[in-house]
Amino acid sequence: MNLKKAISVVMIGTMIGTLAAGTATTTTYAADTIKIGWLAPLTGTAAENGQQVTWAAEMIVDLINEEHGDINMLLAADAGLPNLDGAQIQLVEADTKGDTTVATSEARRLISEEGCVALTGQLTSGMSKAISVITEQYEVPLVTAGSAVTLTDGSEDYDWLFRYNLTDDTYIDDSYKLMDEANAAGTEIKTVAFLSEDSEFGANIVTVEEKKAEEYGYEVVENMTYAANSTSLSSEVIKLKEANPDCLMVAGYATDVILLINTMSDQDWFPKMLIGQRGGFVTADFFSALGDKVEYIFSTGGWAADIQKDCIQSLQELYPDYSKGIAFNEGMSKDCADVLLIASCINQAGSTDSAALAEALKAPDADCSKIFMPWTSIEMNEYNQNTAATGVVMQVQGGEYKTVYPEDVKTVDAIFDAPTWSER
Amino acid sequence: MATLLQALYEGIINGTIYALIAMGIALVWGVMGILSFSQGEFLMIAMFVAYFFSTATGLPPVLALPLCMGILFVLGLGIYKTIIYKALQGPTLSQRLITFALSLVLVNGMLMLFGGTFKTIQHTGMEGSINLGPLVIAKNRIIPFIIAVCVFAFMLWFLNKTRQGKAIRATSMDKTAAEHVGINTEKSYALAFGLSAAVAGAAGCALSYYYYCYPSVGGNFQLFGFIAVVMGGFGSVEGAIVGGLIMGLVDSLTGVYFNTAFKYLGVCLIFMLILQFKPKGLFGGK
Amino acid sequence: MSQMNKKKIIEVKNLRAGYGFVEVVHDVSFSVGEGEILAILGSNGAGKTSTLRALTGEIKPMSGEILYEGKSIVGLKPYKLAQMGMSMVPEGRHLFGNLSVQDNLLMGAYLIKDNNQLQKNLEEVYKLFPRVKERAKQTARTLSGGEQQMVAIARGMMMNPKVLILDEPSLGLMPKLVGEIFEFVKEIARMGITILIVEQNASETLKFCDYAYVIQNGETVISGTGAELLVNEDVKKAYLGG
Repeated sequence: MNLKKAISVVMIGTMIGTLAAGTATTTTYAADTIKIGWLAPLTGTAAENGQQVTWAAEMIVDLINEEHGDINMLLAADAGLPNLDGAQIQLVEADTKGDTTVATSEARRLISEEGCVALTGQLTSGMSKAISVITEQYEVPLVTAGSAVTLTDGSEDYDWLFRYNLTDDTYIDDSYKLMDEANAAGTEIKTVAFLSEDSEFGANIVTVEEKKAEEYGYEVVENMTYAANSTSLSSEVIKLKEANPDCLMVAGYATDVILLINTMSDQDWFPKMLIGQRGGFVTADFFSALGDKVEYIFSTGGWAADIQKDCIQSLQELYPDYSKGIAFNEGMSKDCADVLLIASCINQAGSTDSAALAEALKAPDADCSKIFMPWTSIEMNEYNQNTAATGVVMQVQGGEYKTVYPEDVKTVDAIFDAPTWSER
Repeated sequence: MATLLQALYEGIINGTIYALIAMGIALVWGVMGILSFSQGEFLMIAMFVAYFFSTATGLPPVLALPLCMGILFVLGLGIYKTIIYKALQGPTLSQRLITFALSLVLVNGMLMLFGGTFKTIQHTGMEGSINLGPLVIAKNRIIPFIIAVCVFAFMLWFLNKTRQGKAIRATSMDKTAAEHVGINTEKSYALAFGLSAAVAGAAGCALSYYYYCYPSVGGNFQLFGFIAVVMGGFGSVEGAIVGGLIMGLVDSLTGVYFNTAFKYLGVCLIFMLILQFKPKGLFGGK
Repeated sequence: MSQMNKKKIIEVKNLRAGYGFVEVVHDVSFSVGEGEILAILGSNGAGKTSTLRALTGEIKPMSGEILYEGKSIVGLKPYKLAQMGMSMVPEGRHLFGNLSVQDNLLMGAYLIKDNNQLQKNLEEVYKLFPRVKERAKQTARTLSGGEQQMVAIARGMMMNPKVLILDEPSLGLMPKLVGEIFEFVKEIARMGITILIVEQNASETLKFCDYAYVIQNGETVISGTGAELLVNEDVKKAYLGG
């Protein structure tokens, strides 16, 4: 056999071997393992956060599968799902790479090859829309915490999409109500500006922000979109400085938020109120990269660390073991709550049959005191949206987020008139 | 007025980074006729070097400049001698595309080594800003600017006033003639490639002052660098510098006076305009 | 009269060379005596330029010997040969178009590191080529064909060469200019520099060269002094118009 032939044989052999090895990873599991698909960006610009949220989801799954009598959370007390003879949950993780095309093909693989009974993950609204093409086709539930209003307003047919967390409607309402409170407390807030990234997340938020500005009576002095991962946000900040809004609302992911705050510091401008709309504002990187520049920044949120529920405190104690020290935050809470709810509904349905599961998801019979979110009840409307979900607004004070709104949940008073950079 | 001044200032500051990338591309194209798609990755590697240096020692990133440029220079030489040299002996198409493949390898290599997470330097030793009349000059942006200007000055001096630099210039003008007057054109090629990497390395060190560092960071800057080179005229190092500054200005002014969403559109329009009237770029060239 | 009484500065024996798998030079042998003007003649495509390329290191010969001052130079790159005193004025002139005439000359002196020597060479070259001096500040690209050829030769002289190789200097020039260029070549030879000239223009070249070889189909076929070949019947028929 001459060299050329030998090389072809080796190459073909390697290819066959790789294919075989690839398919061989699907080992058979015992019948009492239930798979939940988890999609998150594990590589790419959002990977840092995606990894942290994934650890949180893994923590929840461990708490479900093992016996933890001391933790006052749904399904923690018993090992596995009690109604299914202790069946174990397996979180099947897939990397979306932050790309909707990859996410879609991974979703298909999770359902058709892995046999996942439901999908969730750390999903943006854009991702959720892309993945729902698959979940609607296969009739498998998709639970998302993405906040775009259009996911559950009936404008599209998402029969198999469920959302327990808040929509932008509530978050933005809370933002404007906070601004009202500022005015009531003596800080004059009359003008508002919006700075949003230009994909699904930002685009949806801006629509709501604009609509409600009129309702609440605030003047919009600047409304800008920017491309994510821009090489520079200098011109954006120049324009903001010129318009000088009393309140700035920002929708963006961690990388851009960090660049933005740094650029604002460089150009020596900060509004009286800066309200971040979650996204980059509720990641660990926000704090580690910006140091004390984050002080006085607000963010809307679906969760806060200082809410008084014992399971919240327990998770905050446990999570650092999974994350090498990083604290449990708002960003991850929403997504891993979805994992818990899916498991709870499977338990409620007593089976993994998709129709039965869907029924349970539409009307979860869950004790909210054992869920680590601020909700007191879950009420699903016709579009599978939890209308009883409530949110908070937090402000960074002393280097961490403290709940400053609403009145009945807040732990400290908000500081409404942020000092300028030089005054700090 | 204050806005215009600030916009011009920010444009030039940002433009210097694009100019550094563009210089590397122009140099490599001028000397050996290869499109360097990997300048962005050289920038990225230097950012990692600066990040690790600054985080480990607590010293400002500018002190990592010799390290960044040195490591990248050696890396550039190494890449030239192993990969580019071979490619030059092959068909033209693979010559043109070899650096594209290289950039993919570098990005994914760094991804494997350091993960997709992004890093920013916490304390660059230059916090705060100075007010120069209506202009706000952030200390964090002045150092990168000074680094860039020093590198421009160094490169122009080297290429025009030193014997080795003139040899490189001659090689890029006419390789045959250069050989016959006694210039070792192989050495010129290797040096040119190494220098282009070093220049991108300086850009990375400068950028680490205010931008975040992750394996794919090179992409956007590379793109701007390319446009800058075509605007300035392929092969002209001076043209690349001017092109880069123009890019920065257009980016900034379009964002401030038109719409931030149209920044890239503005850049592309100016690009097409320049090519319409001066097809060979502002400074002619190859 | 033959070359026998001159020391051989360049010797090429049974050269075979080509590009890739295509052999263009099959069997070329010639030698250049020190201080003489040696011409290599032949029509287009005969293999003259390829021979020269093999000699100056641009392409690697397939077989055969190439000696410079008695030592083999096979495989040495052109810049190395330049360092050894062999200066080549390539076909098509290859000036540094965007540089001034003077800067072209200065580049020609790349190997001269002593500034005094460099200035001396420049003065001498200007003395030899007064028209070049007139155009010193002009951009090389803007000169006429004849002027460019003179600059190319002048540049080749800047390194104080032992051997000056001229590849088709008359190409593209009007007959009157060709005569002028060849006058300069004779002047340079009088300075003691060995000249190797490769030419298509046989009649003019034979008038002033000391010795010549004719290459046909990649082989050296005839050789003799300029005078001898001018009256040679075969040469007359093939290259001198009967």
